[in-house]
Parts: sequence; C-alpha cells; structure tokens
Amino acid sequence: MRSSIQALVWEMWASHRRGWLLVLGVLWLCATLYRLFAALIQHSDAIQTLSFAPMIISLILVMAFCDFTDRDTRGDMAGFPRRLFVFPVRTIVLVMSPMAYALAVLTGIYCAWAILVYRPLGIDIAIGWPAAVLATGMVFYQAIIWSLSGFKLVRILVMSLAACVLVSVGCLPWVLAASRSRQSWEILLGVLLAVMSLAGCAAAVIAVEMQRRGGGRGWSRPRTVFDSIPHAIFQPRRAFKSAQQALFWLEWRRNGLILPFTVVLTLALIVGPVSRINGHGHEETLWTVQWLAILPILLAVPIGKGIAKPDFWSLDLAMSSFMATRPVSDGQIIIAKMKAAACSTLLAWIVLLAVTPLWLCLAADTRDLRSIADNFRLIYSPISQWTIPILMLFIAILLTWAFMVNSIWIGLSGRTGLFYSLTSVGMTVFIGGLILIGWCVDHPNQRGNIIVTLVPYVPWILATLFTGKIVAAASVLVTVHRARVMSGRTINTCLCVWIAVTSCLAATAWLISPQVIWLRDLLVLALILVAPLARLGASPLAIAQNRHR
Amino acid sequence: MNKLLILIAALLCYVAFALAHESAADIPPRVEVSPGHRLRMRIEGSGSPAVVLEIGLGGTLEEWAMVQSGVAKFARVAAYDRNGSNYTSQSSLTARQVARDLHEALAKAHIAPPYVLVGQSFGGIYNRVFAEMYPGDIAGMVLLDAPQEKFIDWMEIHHPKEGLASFRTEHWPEAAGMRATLDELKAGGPLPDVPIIVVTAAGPSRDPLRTEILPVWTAMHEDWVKILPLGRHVITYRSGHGIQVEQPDLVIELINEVVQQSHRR
Repeated sequence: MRSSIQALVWEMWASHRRGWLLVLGVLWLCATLYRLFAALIQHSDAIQTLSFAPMIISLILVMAFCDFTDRDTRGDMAGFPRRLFVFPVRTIVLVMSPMAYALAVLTGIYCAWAILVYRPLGIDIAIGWPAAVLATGMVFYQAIIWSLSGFKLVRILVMSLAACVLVSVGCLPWVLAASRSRQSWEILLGVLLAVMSLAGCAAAVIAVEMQRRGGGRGWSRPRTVFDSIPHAIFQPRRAFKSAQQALFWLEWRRNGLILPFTVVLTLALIVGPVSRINGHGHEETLWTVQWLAILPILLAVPIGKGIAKPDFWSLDLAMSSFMATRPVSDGQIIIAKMKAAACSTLLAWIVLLAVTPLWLCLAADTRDLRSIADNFRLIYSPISQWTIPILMLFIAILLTWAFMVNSIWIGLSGRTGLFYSLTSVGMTVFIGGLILIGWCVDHPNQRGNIIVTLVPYVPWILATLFTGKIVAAASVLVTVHRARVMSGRTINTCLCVWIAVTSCLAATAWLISPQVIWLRDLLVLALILVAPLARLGASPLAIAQNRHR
Repeated sequence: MNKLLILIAALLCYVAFALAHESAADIPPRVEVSPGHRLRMRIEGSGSPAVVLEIGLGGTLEEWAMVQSGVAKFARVAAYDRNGSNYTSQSSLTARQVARDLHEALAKAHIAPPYVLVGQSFGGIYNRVFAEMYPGDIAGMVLLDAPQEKFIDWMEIHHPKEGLASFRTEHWPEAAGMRATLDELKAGGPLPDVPIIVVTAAGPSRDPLRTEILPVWTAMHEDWVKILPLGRHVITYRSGHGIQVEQPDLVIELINEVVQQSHRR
C-alpha cells in the first residue's frame, strides 16, 4: 500500500468483498430487468412502489457494510477497531478515511440507482437532497456506533432517535413546500445537515481519540447505570418454576422484541413520513390503513426466517453446545419458541392497534373508511358486524404468528444449504406474489380475464394443497409419536388447538360470504390452510437431529 | 393414536374435496357470444317472463346474489357480467354492442323472451337501449337508481369534475364507452309500452355531493316517469345507491310486481 488511507480503504473493501459484489450485482440485475419490464413498471403504481425495495435493501446493506467495527476480546458491543489504534496516523485521518469512504460509496450507490436504474424508465427521483440526507445518516451512524461502543441500550435508543430526526428533516422540504419552494428549503436545510454532519464527525474524532488514549474511564459509571436498565427490566425477579419457563424467558429476551421494535421503527421512519408527505386526504388515509393492516404480516416474513435459526443474528445454523446440551426436551424448545413468537406477535399488534386509531382520530380524513364501514353495516347482520372484524383481526394475528414460526422446522435442523435454498425460494415466491397483487390492482382490465380463467381451478388446487398438508402432518405426527419426541397427550392438545383454530377460520369465511356459495367455499379452503400443522410437527424432529449430530 | 390420526386426516381430506366440488359447481359458467368472446352468466329458477339482472359500472353478478335467489322462487332469472365490466376483455363498447351481446348470450343460454330487465345504476341505461332495440322482447323493466340523460347533462354543467370525467377508465374500464352510449341513448327511439318501475335511493349518505344533488336526481326521475304510460316511481329512504345489496327484499317485491303485471297483460 502506498499510503495509510489506501490501506484503510482497502480494509473496508476487503472485509465485505462478497457483500459489495452482491450490492453491485443487484444494481446491475435490476438495471437489466427493469429495462426489460419497463412497460410493466411504468404503468403500475404498485409495481413501481415495489421496484424501490431492492434499492432500499441495498442502501441498508451498504450502511451495514460501512459500520467498520470490531468486537472487543470480551465479545462486548462492537466499536472502532482497537487494533488500528496503533496505526501510525493521526486520529482525524483514522476516523475520516472510513467516513469519507462510506459517504462516497453510499451516495455513489444511491446516484447509480437513480441514474442507471430509474432514469431510463422515466422515473425521475430526486438526487441531491436524498443523497445529502443519506450522507448525514451515514455520518451519524458511524459516529454513534464508534462513540457509544460500550453503551448497549443507549446506542440503540440514540440511533433510533437520530434516524427519526433525520427522516423528519428529510421530509421537511415537501411538508413546508407551501410556504417556500422546495429547492430553497433544501438549500436552507442542507446547511443544517452540513452542520449536523460536522458535529457528528467531531464527536466521532473526539470519542476515538479518547479511546485511543485509553480514555473513557470517566464513562464507566454512566455505562454501568445504563447497562443495568435492561437487566432491571428483563432480569427475572424470582427463580423459574420450571425449565419451560426459563426457556421461554431466554427466547423472549433474545428474539421477543424484534418484531414489535421493527413495527415501531417502520411506523416512525417510513409510514409516518410517507403519510405526511402524501397528505392525510381520504384516499391517502385508506391507502395507509391498507398498508398498516398488513404491516406486521409483511415484517413477520423476514423476521420469522431469523427467529427460526438457533441465533437470530448468525448465519450459522449449528446449535451451540450450551443450547444443545440443556436438560430440556426438543418439544419444550419448540414450545418456548412458539410462545415467544406468539407474545411478540401480540405485542406488535397491540402497538399497531394503539397507534392507528390515535392517528385516525387526530390527523386523518376518514371519509372513505366511514363509507366502507357504512356499506359493511348495510350488508351484514348486527352479529356479523361485530364478529367479522374480530375474527379478521384474529386471522391477521394468526397469519403473523404463522409466518414467525413456520420456518422453525428447517431453521433448527442445522441444514444450512436447505434452509437458505428454501428461504430464497420462499422470499422469491412472496415478492412475486406481491408484484402479482400490485399488477392486478393496477390492471382491472386484464386481471378480470385472469381471475375468471383461473377461478374454476382454484378450489381443486386448494383442496389438493390441504390434503397434502394433512397427509404430511399425519405422517410427521406419527413419526414424532413413535420416536417419543413428543408425548401422545401433547400431540392431542396440539391437534385440538389446531382444529379449534381452523374451525374459527372456516366460520369467518362462512360469515364473510354467506350468499355466494363458490366464494364462501373458496374462502373456507384458503383460510383452513393458514394455521400451521405439518411444519410445526416436524420441528421437534429437526431440532433432535441438530442436537445429536 | 395412529388410527385416530389417520381417521381424522381422511375425514378432513374428504371435507376439503367436498367443498372444492361444491365451489366448482357453483362458479357461474361462461356463455360464448362469439368466437373467443364469452360472458359469465348465472341462471336460476324457471318460468316466463325471464328476469335479466344488469349491474352498474364495475360491479359483478355476485352483487345480485340475494336478489337472484329470491327471484328464482317465482321466475327464471339470469345475472351476467357484461362485456366490458371488470371480468371481461373488451372495454370500449357502447350500449348497442352490450345489448347485442346480451341478446346473443340469452339465446345461447336458451332463455326465451319476453324479458323483465332489471338494471342498477348505469346498467339501467344499458337496459333502456336494449329495450329500444328489441321492444318485442320486453315484458317490463325495473330501474334501480339509474341515471337520466338529462341529469348527466345537468351534472356536466353544475358539477363537471364529478360528472362523466370522474369515471376514470383505470377504475371502470367500460367507462371508455360512456359518452358514445349516452349519444346512442339520446338518438334512440321510445321505450315499449310495458310496466316500468323507477326506484330512487334517497337513503342517508355521508357523501355531501350526493346529499346536495339528491333533490335534482329525484325530481328528474319523477319527471321521466310521468312521460311513461305504465311507469311508477318508488322512492326508498332506507337505501343508498346499492339497492340490490341494501334492500334486496324491496327489489324482489318490485320485480314480482312487474312479473305479475306481465302475466295479466
């Protein structure tokens, strides 16, 4: 290496070489695919919205790759790489080189998406202002992650707060466009962002300089206080009554808050600002409510893949010896995971159900929603008017939970290749399904023909799928019983719960469409597929295999 | 344990296939009106005159489910998805083509005239063009909150944004043919001398525009009925625009009234 800066940049590139190639590969692939399907994207608002998902994911990946951190020897929270403290350069160079690299890469990737992918399609997304906001976000991210390396909870809170502030500032030019032109607001706020970025840089340099000098001793007291907060909240006050209870507590502490926290973040950072920019008109309100209704379900899909693994944050599926040798049965481990997922799902929905009515009452124009409610009241009997919404909420919660747990059977099996292959296929089908729904929403003319042509086959397809599910479940449960992984009583309880839940689902379908028989039966067949059975039955077998290999 | 599991599994699979069979059997078949051009049509009941149900813009024949099952008790009744509505292919057809398609589909489905036409909203305009084209095939009409050409003209003057321009083709594909349909309606001849019931939905609405225009809407229905020799005007205060869903009993009663009148004639 010719210079220290070059060496630092090389290290950042080399440590995530595959990741960078992936980001560039996705960019190239999308540029090619979007041009091939340009007409489809241009004429469908829903598909156009979905087409931004790869860009957002790749920008998140870039931020993750640019964190430039190392864990210390005790395995505490990651901070600025301590091995570089002896690097023969001034701290300002040590800090500013990775920052400059990250800024260049992040803004470069964003501009590449805007210019190479979207502009040829005629989608003219803004470049200057979003790039400035992203750059400030990157500076904040690195500054916080390096400065507060010892503070676990505080770091997460500060990062969330900074993200909220930044997103709010990012939305201001659109929100305030009525009083002055958007461009002039961007210039004014750009100065603010520049000042904030400089402050972030200065904080990072000072913090790393202190760490480099072996400083930060004065922080030990507040660090202890802050670190004791999560312990005070989550630490069990009494000894556990049973191993099952201890397992549930452990599972809840590890994964329980991920879904509710992600829901809160999505509401604060995406739904809120987008809704503010779009306005709170009656059409926008309806659109936002539709997205809110499926938000936990959508988030449960990727989070469920992580929860299915022995460790959420690790790519390795092998179970640690500590986990594998615990004196608990395989069934108990699965039940603890399922219970924690259920609590997590409930908490996420409680958050959503608390925020949504508040927003509807305070800011939204509910004209369309009230009109739908009026029609609903006209169509359904008084009993159905109460029963259907409650059952629909139950179905949404059940679907969220099902997505949270339906990969456990493969995630705990320890078969890395199979898990990632099935996950990729599942995610592709899921995203494909979203694109298809988007296309159908935007093409009422063509969707009619497709629906009418396919509908006669759908009942038979659903019945076949249900039969496959039942046959698989029966064979799995027989194997589980024979292998004595679960007792007959537990299996009976699980079956009774499944039959009760499935009956509720069938009743919902019956209530939704009491007059149109074909639609009613179709809904019954679709809804009885929702409650998981075979995959949950296979989970204890999978975990047994992973523990004893 | 194992035997019980297998028994439950077999029972559930049987139920699933029984449901699939019932569902598949109930899906409305498609009637071919010309090569590659088919309409969904559900036919129930028996007797003459046959009742033909025509839904408004963007609707489907499923909206008639409650009315159709009631009417099937005393007459043969056909509900169909018009060519150009959500579930068919072509979208810029006008009322004359719609009428020709329906006439062809009814013949292919062996539903002989005379017909009692029941049209909701814009479906009422299609019914009027059909009646003007095939006057000998008509035994009576029931028009459920159907717009009037005079009212549409009035809207174009007083509320142009909420008039024809508000029917965007991305939401209502067949709206592409609306203006031409209105021209055909205005150029057409008189309606046959048959019983015609015009229903005005005057139920409460949250839409301020609907509340504002309701007196004009009602008055124009009233004026139009006066020029019909066997016309009758019914105002319902318990229903909004979707009378067939909100007050199916009233619709069944009115259809029965027209069917009985046609028997007496």
